[in-house]
Amino acid sequence: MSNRYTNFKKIRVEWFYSICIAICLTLPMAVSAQTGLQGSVTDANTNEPLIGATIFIIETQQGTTTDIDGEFELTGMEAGTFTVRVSFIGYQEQLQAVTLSSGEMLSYDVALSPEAVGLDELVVTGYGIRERREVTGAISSVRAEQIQARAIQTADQALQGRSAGFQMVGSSGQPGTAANIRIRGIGSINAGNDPLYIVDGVPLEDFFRSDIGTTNSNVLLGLNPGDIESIDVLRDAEATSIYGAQGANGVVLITTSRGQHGATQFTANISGGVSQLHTSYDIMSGPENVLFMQEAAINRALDLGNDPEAARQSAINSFGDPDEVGTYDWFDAVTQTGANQRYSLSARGGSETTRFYISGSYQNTEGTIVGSWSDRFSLRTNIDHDASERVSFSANINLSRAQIDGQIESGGNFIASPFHGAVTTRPTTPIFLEDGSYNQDIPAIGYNVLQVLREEERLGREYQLIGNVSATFAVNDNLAFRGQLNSDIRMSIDRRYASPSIPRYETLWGGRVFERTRETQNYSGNLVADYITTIENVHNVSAIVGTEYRVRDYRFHSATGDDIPNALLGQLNLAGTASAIAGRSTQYKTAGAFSRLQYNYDERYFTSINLRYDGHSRFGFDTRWGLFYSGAFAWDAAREEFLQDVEWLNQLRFRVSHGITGNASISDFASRALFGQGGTYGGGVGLRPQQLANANLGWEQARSTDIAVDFALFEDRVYGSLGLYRTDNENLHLQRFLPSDSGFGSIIENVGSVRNEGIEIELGAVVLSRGNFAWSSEFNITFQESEVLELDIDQEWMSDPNVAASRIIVGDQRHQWWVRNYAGVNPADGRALWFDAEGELTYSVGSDDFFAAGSMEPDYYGGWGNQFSYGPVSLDVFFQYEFGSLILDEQYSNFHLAPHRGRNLSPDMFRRWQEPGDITDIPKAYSQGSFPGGTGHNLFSDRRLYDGSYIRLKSVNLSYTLPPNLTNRMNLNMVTVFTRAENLITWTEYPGLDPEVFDRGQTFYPQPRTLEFGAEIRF
Amino acid sequence: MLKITTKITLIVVGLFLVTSCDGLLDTEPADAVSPEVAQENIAGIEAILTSVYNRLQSQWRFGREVTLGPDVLADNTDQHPITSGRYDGMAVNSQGSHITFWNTAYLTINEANFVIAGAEEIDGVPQSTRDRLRGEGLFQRGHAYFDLARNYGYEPGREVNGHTESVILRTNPTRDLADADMRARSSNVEVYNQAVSDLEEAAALLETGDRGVFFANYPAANALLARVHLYLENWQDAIDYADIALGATNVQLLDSEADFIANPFDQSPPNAESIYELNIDPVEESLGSNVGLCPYTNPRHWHDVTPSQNLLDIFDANDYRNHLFAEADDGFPYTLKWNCSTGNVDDNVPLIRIAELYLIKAEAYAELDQLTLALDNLEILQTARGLDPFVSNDKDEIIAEIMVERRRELNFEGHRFYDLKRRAMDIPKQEGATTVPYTDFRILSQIPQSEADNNPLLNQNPGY
Repeated sequence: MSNRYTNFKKIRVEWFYSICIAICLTLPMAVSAQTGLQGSVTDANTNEPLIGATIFIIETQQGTTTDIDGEFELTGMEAGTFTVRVSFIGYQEQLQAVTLSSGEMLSYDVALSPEAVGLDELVVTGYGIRERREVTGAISSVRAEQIQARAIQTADQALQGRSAGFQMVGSSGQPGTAANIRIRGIGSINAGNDPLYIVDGVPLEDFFRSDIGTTNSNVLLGLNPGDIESIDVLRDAEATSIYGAQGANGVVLITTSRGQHGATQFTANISGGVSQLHTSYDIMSGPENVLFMQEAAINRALDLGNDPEAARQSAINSFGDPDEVGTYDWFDAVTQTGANQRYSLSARGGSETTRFYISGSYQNTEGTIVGSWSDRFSLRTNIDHDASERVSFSANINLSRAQIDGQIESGGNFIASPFHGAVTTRPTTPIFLEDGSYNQDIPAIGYNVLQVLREEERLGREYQLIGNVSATFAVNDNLAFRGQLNSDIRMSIDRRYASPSIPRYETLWGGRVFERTRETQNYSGNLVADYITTIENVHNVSAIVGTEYRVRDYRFHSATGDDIPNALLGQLNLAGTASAIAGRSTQYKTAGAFSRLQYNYDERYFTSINLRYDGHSRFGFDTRWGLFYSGAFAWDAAREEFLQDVEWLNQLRFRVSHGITGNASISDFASRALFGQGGTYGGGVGLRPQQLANANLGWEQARSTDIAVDFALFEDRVYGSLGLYRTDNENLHLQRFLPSDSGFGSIIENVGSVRNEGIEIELGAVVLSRGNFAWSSEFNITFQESEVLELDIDQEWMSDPNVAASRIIVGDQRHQWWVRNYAGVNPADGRALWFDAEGELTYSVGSDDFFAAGSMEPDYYGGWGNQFSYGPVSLDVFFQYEFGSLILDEQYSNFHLAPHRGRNLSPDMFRRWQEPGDITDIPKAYSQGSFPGGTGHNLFSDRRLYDGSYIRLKSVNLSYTLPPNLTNRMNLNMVTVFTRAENLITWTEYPGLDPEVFDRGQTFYPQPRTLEFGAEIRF
Repeated sequence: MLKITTKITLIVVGLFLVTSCDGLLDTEPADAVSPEVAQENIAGIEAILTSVYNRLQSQWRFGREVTLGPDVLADNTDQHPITSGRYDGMAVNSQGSHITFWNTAYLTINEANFVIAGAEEIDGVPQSTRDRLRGEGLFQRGHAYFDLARNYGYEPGREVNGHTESVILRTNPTRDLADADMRARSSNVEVYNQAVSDLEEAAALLETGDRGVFFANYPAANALLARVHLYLENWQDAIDYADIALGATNVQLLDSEADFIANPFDQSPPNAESIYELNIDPVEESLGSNVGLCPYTNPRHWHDVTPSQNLLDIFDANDYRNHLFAEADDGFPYTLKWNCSTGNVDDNVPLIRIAELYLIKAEAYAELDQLTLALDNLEILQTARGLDPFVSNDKDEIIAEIMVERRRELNFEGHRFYDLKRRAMDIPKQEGATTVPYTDFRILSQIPQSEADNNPLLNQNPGY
């Protein structure tokens, strides 16, 4: 564990052990007849040896730890009766009396039971570590085993469903890309909603990531999930306010593995597998499609009083003869079975004064769409060194190179995207010509999407260094100082090669090469003073005071070259025309001072106060400093005397907290009046006004209040917590409307507020534990609701700046779909009917007739994890779910576009109206986007909204640990073989490809179903 | 030991204190400047003027909307049967589908206002430079107000249901929040007057020196005044300004078939008939592959907008301008005016060609019952295009012929819908679609709904 300086008790004890052990090791030479203990420490459930467990004799203060086989030997004892304490983090401590006679080496085997709730579990908090019982804020932890039992590329994927109040939205199936994490809903409107990520104390910069053709690369892409010891999700103000700035969206703290003293332990991991789309689209056959086009043309001709037979003939001319056309499934052609492979090797160990963890890993994941893949090569070194009893150092360095290769996926409706072009290319269009070359005559699309996927290159490469060094100086047992320097340096090199072998690119540019190098340098440092003391055995006081400074520099340059002479040589220096160069740089700086004061009385009554004073260069000169704070109180009732007799009650803790945190996720110079680049004309370079000044721009704030109860019952077999929260995001960075005729459409001001409130329930239980068999289960659910409290003065609503067809309405949920109200099909004539604002049926609706159709925010969501173990076999089964979200699925809707577009159509269109009296939801086939005098029936309306509720069997992990006698024969410590699966089964009514889409599902890359096999070997 | 401890403690405490300093947060943008820097010298004002021209190229002005939209809204075009959806709504005049450039026009106007004000305020600049800058700024503002007035309001005297509201007038730059106040729409008379006075002053300032055909220039200011007065039905003014423009320009009508076979729109720019032309650098200023004139109309690209049969039918066989149409591989016609002449997707856009001046004069003379002069001017153009001159002594027939001649000459250049509208005529559509009566609300474009929603002083156009 890092950050040991905060827990002086622990540090003192460890030093003490070290001394004891040193003594123990020298004693055998002096004593001829050995008296002592020898034996092993194992896990009571799995019989696995516990490495590094502590054996300690209370009376004599002698002790040792178990070796890599879980065995120990404690010699140099005298005859007598002693109390032996055997302990290991995460397990229930065992105290037992033993009696030794002189010269006896007593055999002593101990089986420790895992601690279900882990009151003594260490929880990583801001700038420190605390025992779970001391935590007064809302923090959920995800342990290494939960991360490493998954067939995933980035650690964030292991978080989904594991913590209440934690939502992952719009996770793309493109390997290597970002997930959007939302902690306790979406409170900001214009500012960012992403949490702050901190790896071993290094704040990561989440901007300017590789994004060529796909969504951004994942912020954790450079980290091997296998290196991670734990991830803690900080949700409430008590936990996050120590971070002040950017704490408002929650904080994700990632702690990597550290060395332990003892023999070096090697762990090798090898796995491989395949992924496939878990679902696909049905399409109409070619003849069906063509007949549908004919019907559409005839219907239109009849409406206009034209000759229907001529219309039929015209449709045959345009779309083909139903007796002659074939059927080509384009979407099937662009999908593939992807292969995955992962390798990692780590070594951990060290001496008493120097401990290390080093690892290397490589993974390669292919996507389910032709040509999409990602890989990562990473190296990690974590070193801890105790220079003296009072001075220690540590260094953590993670180096990585990751690549993402993929096609245009989201952020636009680009027609050559596989999720647009391959879905909408007419099924009568051959993919290949008879000679095997690509068909280039692709009506209405213009691209042979399969060729684009194979021959266009969109490759992002990221080189990243995440590293820090720190020094801790303990003045005495109560006071320590610690300094830490952090860097997160990333270079992203994006390359797009629009090969001239693709005719459309040849027409546009003669082929094009685009390359961009982006450099993000993020340096920070902090100094912390830490004081801890206990007065009269019951008054426990601790305090942290610190300062922090951070500078983020960003620059990029790019070049574009056109007219590529040879499709095989897509290099800038071969481009016939240097068509564009670009580059810019920007910077921000933050500085802050912070403190945390904690006091508890007899570990029964806990209080804590956090203060942070933060300044950010993005804000106005007089408004750049903000004070953030929180206070919390907790009462551990189970430790009260009057409850000591209630044996089934092991923990009953009430906690409340309140506080304010900040958000500064806006552009670097948002408060300034700026003139920026204004294009070119006639050889001149332009300058134009970009934004008006707002010298009063300051912090966006989140004010949150928590009330919660934690409990553990029946010897910790049942445990959980129930919490209520309310977060008001205030002084929002809102784009306040300015009349466009002023030349500025908006100005950023601190106005408006949004409330998110919810109930978070986490429950866990050891359901069954009989002999070798154990079943434990953890469940969480979050009910969440948002409300827009106010926008600008007198402003009733605003358009959602991030989501099309949406409004933010005062008094309503944070997000509302704002669309036309579809009333269905008139059974008499097959035309689309609408409700107007008065609720009357009409063929044509105007802007006054739009309505709030519902929200993309779910009503509740969560996860349910189960762990079964039977001797050496263990099985993890994890479900996640979400209910009540509405999704506007443009991808699926593209399938329903009017036949006049001459595109592929969904077989759902067979439900269309055909003759008077037909009752259906799909209007008659029509070769025009709207009926004369009617509103376009394909425009945004509630017809395009779908219920996104789902339950998903997210992951399954089945593992088997080979018997030790077999393993030992191979000179190995432990061998576990496993098979893992992701996204196995999904229960949903959602018609699109993946209900885990966020908002629009425009050209969304669904998550794959993955199956992997592998082994973990320790030696 | 204690000493060292104390020392380290003091150093650490000292480091804490260092960080409480405001200078730590100082940083300056590297790719933008403050308004003071932008406006402190002539180079800054010139650069803002460059931005104004850059705005004209946007697809939300002449790069597409104002150049192609007026043909699609009326009867000069038809949609290709297999379309990618571009201009589908505009082709059938569906509600809300109309020429849209409100925001871009006002960005242009605000920047023009910076130029107009800056040309006066900056010291140490020769008067001639001052005049040219101010003249170009006024020209651009006047042109933008004219385009706004004809798109978002009725011409004075042609109001439907007495609706006289036009657009919002702003003649000073928006320097800070207080300048960005909410305003109501001015009347059509006020906005047209603003356009006329801006262009008149621009003409006076540019008379002593201009930068030629690719920039606001003296003949163009007069030609534009002629066009504005035609819309205002100030017939004599239209004739007078057209004459000034014709007198001031060196440009001549092309009059040989070879010129049209060669296609003046596809020659090295400028177009030989251009009095004022947008010069688009295909490398620096390309609109991209999907939004410009050529991508919309040309079979190399999407070819959604095709010349209507009804348009092709008005050309005699011997009309040289037949050479400006071609047939794509799939048998559908396309215009050669936007043929990706300067790059893979781009064309220069002639904004005023000399032919228009003869048409303006012919129409104005006809309206003033000077039919011979009307026919004389029509003849100059028709002869140059290989046609026999039109002969008639009936005023209405002559005017009808001039309207047809305008279609022949100016198709795909952004005139058709506005020509019908300024004369309060119903908008005929391509075969099979329904005519839009002049009294229909869809004649006026919808002001961006967000403006109407958020500015209580701004009334949306009727029907929206």
